[in-house]
Amino acid sequence: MTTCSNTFVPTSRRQFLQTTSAGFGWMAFAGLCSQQAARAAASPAGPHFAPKAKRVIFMFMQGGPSHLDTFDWKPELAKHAGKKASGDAKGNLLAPQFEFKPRGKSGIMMSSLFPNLAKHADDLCLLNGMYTSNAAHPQASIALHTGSVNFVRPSMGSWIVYGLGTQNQDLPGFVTINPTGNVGGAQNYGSAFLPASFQGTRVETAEGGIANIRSHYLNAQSQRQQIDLIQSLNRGMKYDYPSNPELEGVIESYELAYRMQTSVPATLDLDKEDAATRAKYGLDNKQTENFGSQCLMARRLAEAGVRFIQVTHGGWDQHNSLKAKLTANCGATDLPIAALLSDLKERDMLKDTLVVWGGEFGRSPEGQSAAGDGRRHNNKGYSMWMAGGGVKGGLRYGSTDETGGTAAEGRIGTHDLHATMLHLLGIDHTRLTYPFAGRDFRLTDVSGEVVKEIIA
Amino acid sequence: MTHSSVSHFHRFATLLAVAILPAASQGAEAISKENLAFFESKIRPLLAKHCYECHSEKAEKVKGGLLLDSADGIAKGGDSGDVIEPGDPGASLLMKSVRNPDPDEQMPPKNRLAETEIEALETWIRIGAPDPRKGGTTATASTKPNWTLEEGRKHWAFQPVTKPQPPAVKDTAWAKTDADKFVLAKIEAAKLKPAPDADRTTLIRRATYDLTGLPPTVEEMQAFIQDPSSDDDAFATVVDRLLKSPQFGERWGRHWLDVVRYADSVGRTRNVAFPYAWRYRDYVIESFNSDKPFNQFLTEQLAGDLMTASNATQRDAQVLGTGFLALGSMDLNERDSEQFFLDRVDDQLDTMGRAFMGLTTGCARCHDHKFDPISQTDYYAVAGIFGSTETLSGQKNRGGGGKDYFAPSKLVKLGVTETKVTPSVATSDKADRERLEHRLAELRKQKTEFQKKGSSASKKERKELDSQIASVGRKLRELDGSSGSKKKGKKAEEPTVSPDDKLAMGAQEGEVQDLKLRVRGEPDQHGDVVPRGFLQVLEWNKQPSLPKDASGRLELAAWLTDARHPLTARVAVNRIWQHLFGRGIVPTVDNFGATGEAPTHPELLDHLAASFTANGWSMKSMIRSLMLSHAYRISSKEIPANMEVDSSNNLFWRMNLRRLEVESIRDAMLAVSGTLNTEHPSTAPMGLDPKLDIGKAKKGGGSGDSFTAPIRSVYLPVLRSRLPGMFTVFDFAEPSQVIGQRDVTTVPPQALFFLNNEFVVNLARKTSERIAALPLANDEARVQHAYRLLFGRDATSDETKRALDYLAGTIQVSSGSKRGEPVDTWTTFVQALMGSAEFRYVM
Repeated sequence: MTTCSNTFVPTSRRQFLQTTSAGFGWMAFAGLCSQQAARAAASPAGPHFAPKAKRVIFMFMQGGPSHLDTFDWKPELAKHAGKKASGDAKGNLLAPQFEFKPRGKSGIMMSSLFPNLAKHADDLCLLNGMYTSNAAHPQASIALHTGSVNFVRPSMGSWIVYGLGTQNQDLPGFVTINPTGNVGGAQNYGSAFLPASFQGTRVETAEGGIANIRSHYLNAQSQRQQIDLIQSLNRGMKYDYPSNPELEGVIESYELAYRMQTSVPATLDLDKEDAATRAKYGLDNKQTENFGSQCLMARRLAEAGVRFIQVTHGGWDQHNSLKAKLTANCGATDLPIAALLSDLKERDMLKDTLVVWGGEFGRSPEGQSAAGDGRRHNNKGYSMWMAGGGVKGGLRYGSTDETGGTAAEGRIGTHDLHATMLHLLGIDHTRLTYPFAGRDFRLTDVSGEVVKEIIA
Repeated sequence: MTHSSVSHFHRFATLLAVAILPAASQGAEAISKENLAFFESKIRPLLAKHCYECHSEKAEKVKGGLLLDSADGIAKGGDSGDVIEPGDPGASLLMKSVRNPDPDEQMPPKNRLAETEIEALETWIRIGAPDPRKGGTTATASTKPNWTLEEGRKHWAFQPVTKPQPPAVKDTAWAKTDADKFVLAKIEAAKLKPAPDADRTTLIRRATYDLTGLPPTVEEMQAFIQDPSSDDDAFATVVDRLLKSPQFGERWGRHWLDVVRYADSVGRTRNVAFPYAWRYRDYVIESFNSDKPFNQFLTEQLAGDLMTASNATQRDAQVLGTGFLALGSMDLNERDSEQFFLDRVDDQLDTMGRAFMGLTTGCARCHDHKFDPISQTDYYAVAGIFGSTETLSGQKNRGGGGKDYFAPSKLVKLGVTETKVTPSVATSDKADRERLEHRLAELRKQKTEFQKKGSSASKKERKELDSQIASVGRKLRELDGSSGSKKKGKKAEEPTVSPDDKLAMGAQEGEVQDLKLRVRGEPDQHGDVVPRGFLQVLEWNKQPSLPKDASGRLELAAWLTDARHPLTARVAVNRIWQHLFGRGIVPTVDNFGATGEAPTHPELLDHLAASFTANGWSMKSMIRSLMLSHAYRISSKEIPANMEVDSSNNLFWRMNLRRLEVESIRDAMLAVSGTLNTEHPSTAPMGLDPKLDIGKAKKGGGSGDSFTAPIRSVYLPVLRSRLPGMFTVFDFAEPSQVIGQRDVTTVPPQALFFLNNEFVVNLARKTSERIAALPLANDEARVQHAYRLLFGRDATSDETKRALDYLAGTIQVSSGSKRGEPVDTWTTFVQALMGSAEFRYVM
């Protein structure tokens, strides 16, 4: 260890990342030696300019929530309801199924489905001009998460952690809570060609958090003895390889793992919250318990410094029974989302936490199913919203056409969305690159425009 | 030369400036007030209304490479060339397009401009097309590469392989092989000395892992250490024994499976199992074990179905190689069949390019390669070869909500003698079938066009189309003679598969065709037809003409394995070197192009490549010769003086310390516990239901708990997006990419795995039971044995003492009541050894 000055000098950033992952998804392991190397080689870890947001909470509403019944107010659609849809679209126009009202001081229009969220209207930035390239669930989900339909590419969370590093050495930088197994599955939080340390860590609200997090045989004290034995072996090996950063990394990995066994369950342990807080998130109610747990966990992870946190609520694919199912879905998510926003605000964290809500696409203005109470997939125009993290609150940005089928103004495609998220995090999306297979890859491929108009 | 959009006169005057400066929009100040007003009132709204949807930076998909939302964009023109000729409406493509009488050709499509609008455009062009709009043209930013073929050819990797003379070295006794001389000369030039020889204990562990992926047994170690022959002879005996063991192919075959993106499921949107991929996996293992010449190995993978075979056994052995072409990760749910077809071709071309040539040929799909001298035309020349091939992956592409992707008719039938099979269709029907399939594809395309474009086609027209599709589909099914045609119901049914059917993934000849270049890689943006061929930069005489009645895969393989091809042998030996020395001579093993790294030892690389081909492309001979080199047999320990000069070990002055791959870590745990079943499971990966969407399956994804099965890791199913946790935390090769070099990351989940995972605890327990059952006198002897078993060496006296202290210490083990098997301090001791760095590193 005295020969630290003889340190391994990576010949390239890529080599450095490949061989030590003195990591950004995790943390710098290799002690002083690799910290020096990290400074020399891992230049992307850090923003390009002053960031507005330090972290992201992405609420993935899998299935394609109907924008027409939630966040995109279309009075014309109500007016023309029952009429034959124009163009080639099948079916008759289906009126918005829920009443819209102006909310907050800003008076942005939201439907009655989100009564609690409506109290935060002045923090919301509705994006009504969203569109994406594909109208099938798996493709559109993968595109939303990775920016690409045709190739296996790293998830946006992986890119962000690759770009910014992590803030907490005891926790992964990218966590996804209760992800869906289908519509791309692990590809949605995979690191593809980025080193594996940047992949999302899967956390379950039910099964005790993350894999292998506790011993079934040894108490902390006995396990410490076992780790001490392992470390004495590791240090013995270092005698012949004093400047090898990987061995230092193994030693660090055990120390961190040991701490994680306490810190991760502690962070994820919702029992640590008082009854009032648990009730605020709806943990005392069957309907809201699942998503409430996710949101509360997300808040705790955000407080602990995790960079990218994803929560997921599925079941937004309303081909039929739109009214009943939307009521159920919104009922399950409205309270927890509102609680999360209010907690973030109370802790003065909303200003640098970018909250993004949305699905892979939206739904058609035309009705579907015999009863006419469903809507088809619609990728040509839909809504997402953002809050905090440097976006303007109480803003309705962009629009769809008269009846809400196609994004008209303030159009935001997938690459634009990613470019804007990166921008808020202080990253120039054209400069966040990784060399693979002979060229530099980007999350935004070769396009993407920052939506400057929504930035506060 | 681009046209500036400024007035005709102005353009003339600034010709020189335009030639030097990039096209720039003209400031509004240079346009007369009248003209500006005309543009703003008549032209801008018109363009915005009718054209921006497809021809602006905000367009979802820019069509024809043309941007009409800035002066620069108009000046640049599109894929069809200049769009306006300022001052000359008659010569302007824009006017021809808006006046085109064919509603499908006219612009904007279907909605004809009003006559007044057309006239306004005409006037605008006549007055010189004044245009105040600024704005970038990023979407059409020049994709012109900065290479020429002539310059590009000079890149080191495109030079012919030479046969360099081994250099003179001072320490002539040190060099055991010619390769040693190349290595030593560079070390001596840096005024260094190579590391001392590794001792026999270190060496047998290194060699056994390198050749079999398993640790040596205690008996094997003993035999080598006690072998009275010379070091050279004793080690040669070990190497020869290992090369002959069936585990050799399991180890080296897996290296190749990384390169060819091997998996047992298709991944992506509809992650359906490949129930027959394992035959290709076994074919690869067998090819390494039988030391199949690499040129033959390559040819079989590209064209095994086209090679002559004297009997069914030989044909089977060859055709299995074409599984290589069918393993790609495809979006089975892709709605655009043309996109699917081109994505498939791209997967095959890109994998071929990187696996065999170390060239990122796939980069030229949408534009000329930015860095390497590979044009887009080159891409489509090679793509035509794969485009003339029918891929038999056992799955079909289905847009929409279809759920059944398994297609046994799209598999290779084994045990037959024809070189070309058309499963379940009589050969005489083939032409009919192809005709019908073609027709069906066309009809379906029309239908998707209708759906996509929101066409004005009437309901009646669409009904008509649907009934035509149904009718052609029916005829096809009748031709298939499948049971489905006799049953009622709409769906064409696939033949049922019995477990006895000998089926495999692979490829056969398809409709032979030259592909049209696709502008920016867009399926519907057609360029010129490109005759099939190879890369121009790698021409040693003129481009061969490919047969009219065959895809050209056989010729492609012949070209790749031609002695004059500068890449194939270099890339292959570099991969072998990497697996033995921890780093390639070219460190970027999959990229020998301009963005790859240059070889640290170019002469050595050429020497090896030349001997490789001279020795009949024998992989085992190459591996054996490298293992018997002195360079392989030196210590990996750091030497401060050498570290000062070359800490990265670019000179190979020591062996690199290497972490084991995840398979070896897992297999080693199984091996030391005595539970590893080294037999080759001769069946499909457990429980892979060909109809199951693994993405939707519950835990295990249809593979059950195969991870804990006591078989070698290479035989576990590789389910894309569903890899076992241990595989993802220990850097298993992402199975949808060409990965010639795995990452080595060190993250806390690895430590958590060793500390807490049930599988580890179980194997540690079995190992300690195994040690306890031996007739050993005391714990000291048992510790000694554990060290030999797990680390392949004796424990030092300090280590023994430390271990005995631990065993006698105050560890409290509580066997979780539900967890069954008892765990004791000894188990936790073995577990600690398994978790240590030494267990997972090869020194």
